Amino acid sequence: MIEKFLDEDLIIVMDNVENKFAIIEKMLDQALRKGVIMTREPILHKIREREELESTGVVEGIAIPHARTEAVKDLLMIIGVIKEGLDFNSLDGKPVHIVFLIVAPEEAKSKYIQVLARISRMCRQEDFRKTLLSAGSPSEVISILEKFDT
Amino acid sequence: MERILLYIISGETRASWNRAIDLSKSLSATLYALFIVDKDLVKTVADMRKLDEIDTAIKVEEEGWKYLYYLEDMAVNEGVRTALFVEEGDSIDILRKFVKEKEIELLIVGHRSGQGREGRREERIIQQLIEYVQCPILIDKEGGK
Repeated sequence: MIEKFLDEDLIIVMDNVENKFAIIEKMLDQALRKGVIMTREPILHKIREREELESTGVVEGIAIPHARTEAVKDLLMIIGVIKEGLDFNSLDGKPVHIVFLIVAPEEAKSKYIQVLARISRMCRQEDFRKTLLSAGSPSEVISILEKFDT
Repeated sequence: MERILLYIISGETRASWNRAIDLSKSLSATLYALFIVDKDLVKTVADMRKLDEIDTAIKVEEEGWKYLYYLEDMAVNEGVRTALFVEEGDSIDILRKFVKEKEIELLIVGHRSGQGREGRREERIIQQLIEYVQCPILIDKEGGK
């Protein structure tokens, strides 16, 4: 179900990122370069608004910042890998290594919720987390996601 | 009041979701939302429908996440702080621990009365909640007058 939203060019590996918003900015910059979005500011604003309300860090090193906005035409998923980990104000207080940034237009609520539910469910599986955290390249990340996306 | 817990017992109790959001908003409380993949329920469903237990648990969990994200979407529109949780095991044990660990001040649970096997299961859980969970409980009867 999530495979159609996966794109190697939208999986980025990062080092030395200052904070969680810097990560999100880098991820959106990549989407801008790829031409998937036309502007990053309205998306960033929505994500900030959401993150300021409550951190969307899930558990065990994975965060899923998400928002709905008319600044995108279809559901967009960008994956960030932070090798050294970063404080994301997660519920469990652990550093985050993988970020799934999910943005969808207002009218795609059902699809948006399905994708969030699938990713969240996968992230609770220890097997999945371990395998994903050991991925060495974007193509490997995609293979792992496809394998567990059942 | 700072911490309200909405226990999502099923997707059929959505009126209680609105109640929990309204209350959290008016009290400026954080709304914790919890869905439990109840191991007994999973086993019963898997046996009844002759399905694999692991596959059934996966489907139940994913459905639970959908409820949680729907709730979150509604809550965020109202400016209510939310935190979502999925746990797996015995519902009452998990709720007892959760309420204690998170220092929950009010537990809200929706309840449909007398609707077949599911309704009876919910009634049983609610009875046990009253008996074992150490915090005030608001039981929101769906369609109740």
